[in-house]
Amino acid sequence: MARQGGPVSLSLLLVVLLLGACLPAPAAAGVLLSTLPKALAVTASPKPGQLLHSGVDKLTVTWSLNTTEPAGADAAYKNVNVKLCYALVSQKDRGWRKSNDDLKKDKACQFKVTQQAYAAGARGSFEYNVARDVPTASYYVRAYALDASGTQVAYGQTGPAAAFDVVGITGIHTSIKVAAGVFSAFSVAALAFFFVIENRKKNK
Amino acid sequence: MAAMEIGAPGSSLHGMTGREPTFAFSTEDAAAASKFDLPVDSEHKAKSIRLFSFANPHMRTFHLSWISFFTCFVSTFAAAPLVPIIRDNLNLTKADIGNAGVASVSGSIFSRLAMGAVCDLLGPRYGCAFLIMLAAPTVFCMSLIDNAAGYIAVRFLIGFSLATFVSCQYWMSTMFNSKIIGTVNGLAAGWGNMGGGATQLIMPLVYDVIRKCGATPFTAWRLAYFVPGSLHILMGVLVLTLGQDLPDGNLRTLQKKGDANKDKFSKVMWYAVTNYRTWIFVLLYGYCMGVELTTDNVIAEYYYDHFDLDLRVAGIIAACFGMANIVARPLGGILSDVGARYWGMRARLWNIWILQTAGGAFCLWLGRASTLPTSITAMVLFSFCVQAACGAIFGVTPFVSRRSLGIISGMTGAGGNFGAGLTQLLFFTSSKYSTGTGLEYMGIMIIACTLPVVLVHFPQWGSMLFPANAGADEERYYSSEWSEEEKSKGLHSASLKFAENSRSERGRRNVIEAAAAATPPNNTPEHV
Repeated sequence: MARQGGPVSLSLLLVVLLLGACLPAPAAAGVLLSTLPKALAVTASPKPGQLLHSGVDKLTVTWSLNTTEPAGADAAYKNVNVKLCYALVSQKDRGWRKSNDDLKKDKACQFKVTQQAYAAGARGSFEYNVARDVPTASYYVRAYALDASGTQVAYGQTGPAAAFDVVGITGIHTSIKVAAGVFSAFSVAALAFFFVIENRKKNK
Repeated sequence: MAAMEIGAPGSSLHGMTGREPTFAFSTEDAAAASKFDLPVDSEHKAKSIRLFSFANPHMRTFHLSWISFFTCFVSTFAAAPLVPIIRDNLNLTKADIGNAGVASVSGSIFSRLAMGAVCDLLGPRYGCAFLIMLAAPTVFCMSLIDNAAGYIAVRFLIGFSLATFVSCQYWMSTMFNSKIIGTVNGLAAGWGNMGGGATQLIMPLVYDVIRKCGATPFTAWRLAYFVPGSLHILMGVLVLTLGQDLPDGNLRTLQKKGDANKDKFSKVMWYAVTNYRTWIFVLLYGYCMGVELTTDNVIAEYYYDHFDLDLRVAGIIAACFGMANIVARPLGGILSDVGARYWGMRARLWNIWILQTAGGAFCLWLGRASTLPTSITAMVLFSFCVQAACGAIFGVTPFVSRRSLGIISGMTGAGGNFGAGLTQLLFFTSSKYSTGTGLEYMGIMIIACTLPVVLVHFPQWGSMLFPANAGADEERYYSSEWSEEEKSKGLHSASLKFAENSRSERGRRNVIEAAAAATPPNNTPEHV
């Protein structure tokens, strides 16, 4: 087996290196949030601390050009991309939700609310049905203004300070409970059955 | 084990047990040869292994046994590739995930120690079946939990099923001759451990299929858990219907015959615990097997988070780690045996040190790697070295003691789980450092904890840095485990036989000495 071990491990290494070569190269750095102007005024219908149930409740997001911005500053904004972001309390001890200034590496805004055309000078809004895969956590809403190429050029948010809570679904249905119970009972019963039968045979 | 040279003193009676048939032709052996598919010895244990056969009883036992162990590994580590989904569903923090990982490997520290006793009482077939079928409800429970405490508790309970390692090794030793038991146990252990890798492939795949059928993520992972649970039930039923405890039938035969003198547990425990080598190997195994179990728990999540990979791709890469066991662990044992042929026990010890230290270095590289190809290369090399080190360690533990072999193997195995729990607690539970940094520190700790192997010294064979003591021999080492009173009753005869066979651990020196002994000048040979 020592003779086969050499070529086997070599071929495994080759496969791994080939796999590695075929994988996508790391992407270039994205836009930095700190460089973007906070040109959008965003509001969300839930009050801070309000509880929404995913799959059941709705929330309304509105966005418009911030009054501090000069009129016409939004000429370049073609689309608006609205996202649900984890509040700081939900990011604590959870490195996989950490916010990052580099928007390509940012992991705090994982859920897309909507992406639609931006009407200059007008107030846009969207009614969002909280999706069933949104987990239990605290959130706020952030909207990016995108230019024609799809790059973020401005943003606005309901702010990390004011956050509302979403209660996610558990994913447990009654059918799962029943199935788990039946399978478990079968396992224990089958074991007991075999044990008793074989003991009877032994004693005969 | 070296064969006795013809003409050496005592060779004419070597291997005689007093149970040989007195007839010129052997009626029993002929019957045995025709009944079994493989060549067997006087206890009907197989003397060779044929991997692709399922013949009753030896090969069927081999396959039932390793597949049951594999199934328990699959269910114990089934959560690992799905953690990115589970952590959102149950609102887990990094500490919760780390603690669950610790819990998943801690339960079996105790269950492995208890399993030995269970196998003695009920036989390995019932030991295996009881464990695997009573663990099935815990696997199904995983589908019903909805908070961190439940997650940790259920992973702890599922972890008990890793004690099938003991029933697996015990069952092999009733079916296979001691000359090949090392290879057989190495294959079974390696292929069983492979379950930790296979699960990283199976679970994301099943999850994907269930999602495509329309389930939400939080329901899909719960349904995916029915796969390992059903495997438990299937293997349990197969073991009960197709398996048998001994080559000739089930345990009641052995119980009626009345087995050989049962040693006193307290004495066996004493000689295991007071031998310093036992503790060094417990530590060493904690930093090869323990590190392997820890990596099984964290590596998929690491690739998902650090390189932003899809769940299935992260699972495939993570699987490469555990699946390397198919060749890596047996290879470690083979390297150990090949080295021992030339340099004896000293080669075996150097083999362990080289493999495990290299493993630690590759782990350090893995933690530091910033591009995906280098990371995967480091991970594959790390897996090969660390798993081969596991195989190499079990190439040495049979020689540490003859009287307490069972307990020492059990303690070494438990040390693996203890190392896994400790490492996870130290490096992968706190938010202070990232998983990558944790891997770096783990690599450094492996290198540091492998150094004690330098201290292992056998008087008759030497150690890594020092040769054998002059005048020391194997008989004295193995007889030192018996008191004078026990020796006068002849209880240590099995140890003496083992000592004779273990002379091969002297390496080439044994061959030279034996050649010199076989041709003394001016002597007529023993047999004329």
